[in-house]
Amino acid sequence: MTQSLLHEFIVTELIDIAGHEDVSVAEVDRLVYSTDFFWLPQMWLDRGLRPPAPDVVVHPESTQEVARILQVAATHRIPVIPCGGGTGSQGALLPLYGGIMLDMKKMDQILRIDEQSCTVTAQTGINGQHLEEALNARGLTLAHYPASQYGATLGGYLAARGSGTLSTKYGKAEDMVLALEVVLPSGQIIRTLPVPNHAVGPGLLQLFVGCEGTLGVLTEATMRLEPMPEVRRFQAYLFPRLAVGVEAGRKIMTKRLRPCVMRLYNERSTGRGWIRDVLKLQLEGSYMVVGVDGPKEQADLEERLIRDICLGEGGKPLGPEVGEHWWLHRYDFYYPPHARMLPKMYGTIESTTTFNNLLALHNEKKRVIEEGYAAWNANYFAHLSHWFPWGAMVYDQFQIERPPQDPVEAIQLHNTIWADAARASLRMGGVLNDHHGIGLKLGWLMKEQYGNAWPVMTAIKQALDPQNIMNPGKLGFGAPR
Amino acid sequence: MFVSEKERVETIRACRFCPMCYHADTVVQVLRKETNAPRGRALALYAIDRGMLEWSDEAIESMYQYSTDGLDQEWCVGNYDHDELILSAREEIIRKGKAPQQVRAILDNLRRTGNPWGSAEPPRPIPAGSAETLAFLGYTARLRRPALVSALRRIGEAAGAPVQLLGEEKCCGMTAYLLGDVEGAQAQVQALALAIRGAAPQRVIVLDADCYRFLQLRSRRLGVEWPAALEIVHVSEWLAGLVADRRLALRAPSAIVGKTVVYHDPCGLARFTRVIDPPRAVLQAVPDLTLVEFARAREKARCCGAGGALLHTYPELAKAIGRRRLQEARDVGAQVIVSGSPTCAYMFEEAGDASVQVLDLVELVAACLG
Repeated sequence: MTQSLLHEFIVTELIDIAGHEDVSVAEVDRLVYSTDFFWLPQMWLDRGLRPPAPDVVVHPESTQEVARILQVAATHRIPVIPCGGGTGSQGALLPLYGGIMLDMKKMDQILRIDEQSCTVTAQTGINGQHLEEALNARGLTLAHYPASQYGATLGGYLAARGSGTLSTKYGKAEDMVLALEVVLPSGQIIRTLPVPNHAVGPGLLQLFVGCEGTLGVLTEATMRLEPMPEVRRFQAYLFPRLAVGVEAGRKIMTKRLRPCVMRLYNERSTGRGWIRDVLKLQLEGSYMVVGVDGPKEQADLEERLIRDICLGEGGKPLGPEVGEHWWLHRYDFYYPPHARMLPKMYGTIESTTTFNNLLALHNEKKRVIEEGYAAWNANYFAHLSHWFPWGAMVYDQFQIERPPQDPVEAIQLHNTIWADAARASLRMGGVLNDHHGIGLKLGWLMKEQYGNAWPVMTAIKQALDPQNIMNPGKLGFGAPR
Repeated sequence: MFVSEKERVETIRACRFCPMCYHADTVVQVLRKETNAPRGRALALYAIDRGMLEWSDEAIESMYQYSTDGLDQEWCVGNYDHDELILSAREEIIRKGKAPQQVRAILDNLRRTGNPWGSAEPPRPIPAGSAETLAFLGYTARLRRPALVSALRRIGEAAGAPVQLLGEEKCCGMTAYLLGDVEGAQAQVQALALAIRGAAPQRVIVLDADCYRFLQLRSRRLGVEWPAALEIVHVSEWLAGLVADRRLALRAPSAIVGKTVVYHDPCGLARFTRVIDPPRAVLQAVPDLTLVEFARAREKARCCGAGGALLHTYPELAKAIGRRRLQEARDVGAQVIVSGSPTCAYMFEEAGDASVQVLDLVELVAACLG
């Protein structure tokens, strides 16, 4: 879709559907929509280069408009990139083949709050913070607190299978969703079953959760809600080594206690970074912040049982203050100048695995980064958060203070580190990613992740989107046909 | 001119990819387009600096379609001054002679008539006098809420604190400053300072929150030297002082007795000059009112729509922002919204549908004198 007579006709069709106000081909808009929160396009722009831009930006205001826009795209075989808050770090928003950037943020209405069933149905373009404030006013919460909450949308939460800081108790976005309205690549509007638990065949709902816009456009979602907790309290413990803290965490989870948060930092992250710089604590060992919430009696009991386990494993109690401070300032490190920013090279390479693999996965990735990239003085930071009944997520990051200036050299180094880290996760029984998604960044490794099951995934894609117009180049699905 | 080149570059670097204040930014809540989000504006400026983008009509429009109400910085943990970044962009646009037509027309009106509408000024309902206290009304009060003048006179009489006005009052320069015309702003504020010196008051009470912010925070940097003994206060601070000294006996008039009242914090007060509690103290001194607060109040109060001169440059956008704030007033059960600034009150009336009664604080106090 280049500057051509056909382009003008397609723009006419889009204006006919969405109206002049909601369609733009302006250069400034095309530039602004050429990046998301992925390091790579940001670096590209920083070096004075322009990443691929969409041909046209459209802001639909209803599901019907989305459906008609997808029909136009299918007719002309134009890529469509559904866009939420643009806070994703994996490059899922990059319009690699041009096409239509479908910004969903005008579809931001809360349609129903069912206080009896504790559910909300909303359009997916709603901002996470706005949704949360509206729910809080009714004594309810989505209990989804990702660092991207201020910018992300409900649709983005679901499209990337996102996770928040209290996911250990309240689950990830995929656990919170009950039902979806989806516009298929053909323009057909479908709804998944009204409830997520059933015995009516395989789960259609979960097919679209995590699809990152490659199988259709999520337009409405019904989500599970939680009551605002009567109390929410935090405690901190110091363990002599990461391995000891991991064992305490495993016991807490396998005894089926339900801390709302449990973050265990490895030795390096305990001695540096946030704990040293913000909390002003000089600690050696492995630091854990653990929180409980809910009715007071329940929280009291869980707090006591968790304490017993931590002390039993040799943990030293540090009191509630550091945990409370963490909760109040949990997003501060995502703001400049505290956030990881250019000119540094960095990435969150997190993975999830079962308890039996957890330490080995951490140690192997630490080795791969620190030894493999010693020449670049690569740093490896890690904490374990988002604990599951069967395992946990290792939230690990690499950082290089002075990456190559040459943009091509920088990309090659970046991609090599990512591949090494991701393959280490796979080797140790983990997955490519826990909660940021795949996007462009990890798409090329999807075959390795799925193995013999990959043709199943491509067959599903082929069935729903035979022309591959939905967010092409992402999730490993390749170019438009 | 209020941001150094180093700060400007650092702010662009901080904002260009940052989504953290998206939820707070006033304009993007209505337009919902990334180009109107803080990072969109900063990325556009970055690209223009690098020669990757031209000053197109759309890029220029995105700089003027912004409320400069301090909310983005208020939410920013890094405390970057996004507003001055955008105002510096407007300065550059003016320097290049690329300002949108309506901006040029407003600046021309300000120069010719002292108000953005180009209206002839009404005759003074009360003559200039020589009281210790001089009130600076601002153009919104003068031309759009003239009842404020008699309200002020009644309050002054009731408190035994007479108020004089300037014989001829023109814009303080705030609007020109907001539109990027720093030279115009400088000329206007210096002319005003001269007129105030001529009237020789001990105290200036400023009605409009925007004028107050400008006189407090920008006039000195534009070369004004105020007399050392001169006190410049917002009218809400003056009223709070009269209330504290028990010089005003307030009683809610029957029209608003028992009604639920919410106070709207103008950005020029709550964020830029931190005048937050005086207007509340005045309201609390009125018996028989049920006072409530907005969900986002005080330093985090949302804009009325008039911020950044949007009221004049993009009135439909300004009204859409104002309607959202009025809805927030209804959400907390308010039947009356009291603003700390005539401009916000005027904005709410322009945006409103009569479902919420709108009053300026000065009007309310005058009505409570019986």
